[in-house]
Amino acid sequence: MNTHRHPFTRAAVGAIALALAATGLVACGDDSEDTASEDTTTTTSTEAATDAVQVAGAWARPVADLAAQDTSAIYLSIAGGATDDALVAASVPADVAGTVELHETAAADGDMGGGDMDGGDMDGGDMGGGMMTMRQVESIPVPAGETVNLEPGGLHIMLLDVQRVIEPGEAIDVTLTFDSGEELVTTAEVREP
Amino acid sequence: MKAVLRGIVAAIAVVSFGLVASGCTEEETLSGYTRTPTDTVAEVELPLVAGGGVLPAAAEPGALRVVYFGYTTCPDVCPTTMSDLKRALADLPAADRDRVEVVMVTIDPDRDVDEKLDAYVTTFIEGGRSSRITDPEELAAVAEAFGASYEVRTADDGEIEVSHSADLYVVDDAGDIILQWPFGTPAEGIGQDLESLLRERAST
Repeated sequence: MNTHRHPFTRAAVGAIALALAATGLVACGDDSEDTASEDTTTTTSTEAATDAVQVAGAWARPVADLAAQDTSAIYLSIAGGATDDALVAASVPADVAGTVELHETAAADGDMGGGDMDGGDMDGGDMGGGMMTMRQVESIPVPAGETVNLEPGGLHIMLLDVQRVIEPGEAIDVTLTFDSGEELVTTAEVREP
Repeated sequence: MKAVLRGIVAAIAVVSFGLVASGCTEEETLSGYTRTPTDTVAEVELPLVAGGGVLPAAAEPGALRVVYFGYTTCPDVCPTTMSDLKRALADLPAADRDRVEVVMVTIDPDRDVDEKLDAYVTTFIEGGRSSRITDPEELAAVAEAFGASYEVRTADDGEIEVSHSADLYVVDDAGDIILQWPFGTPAEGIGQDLESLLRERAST
């Protein structure tokens, strides 16, 4: 990408063309991979399930300015144990956020019900697609032996009433409560996505 | 034996890379998508927050405007997109970056007061502009011009549920929507598209 432009040398033009071709290739490769990973929120583990649920890869979005943002999100992946379970609650220290909820972002595709409209009518949906809805969910099922990924644009742990600036590099303790009664504590690294 | 295997794997990788490459030559290199025919927002004006006047949806001459419809209490979708855009802009050469103007229109003007919205946008995008349209009909008309949809509703349990188009729209200086990135377009894709669109504009 760091192409230095020397417009008068043939070699440089060739190098630019090559670099452009390469970036084109990379872009296309990335696209297909990203689509694949985004469509997959649940994957079946190829290894034998361990007895207990396990959590990995927790990270949280930074909040730089409380006057601008009072929400954040935590993402992580949960590997199911020997039996079906479900994440039913999450919590963080009270000095970080006042309320923690389980949420899901999903493509809405225009089939919205009526409800108490508060923001104008829906006539703008002609182009279709691209509508995303965020809603609270009661629980997030974690089937035995499967891995559930909480990731941007999908399931996430939402922090509301964020109480203080959350800086990149910080570590936030997250307590996860499961339907089985099991409680896990993990550490979410604060970072940009 | 391992070396042989590695060789085969490498060969397969090269072949599949070639296949991927052949599937996206020339005009297929943009990550975003275009509309045929192109929609125009040349007539649309975006009122800026805090008495900032009115911004035409069309970009300045030779520049591009990136328009987003979002809201500040959005924990997942909006920050993902704004962060991707931020990274894409950061990777652009400074001269290119100066030719990209970002504006976010809040679809939740009741909760997104001027100061909050402005702080939100500039948290992600240095110099980013904020538009807050408080008249529901006017906001609906602006969104419709872009083909964007949104809904803010209060569920039975009192929870405010928001839906919105999560695309980024690229508008040129003629007011045409020349490209649109759906949610999840990687920052690299956004950056490369911007570079290529800006290059086209520089040469004409």
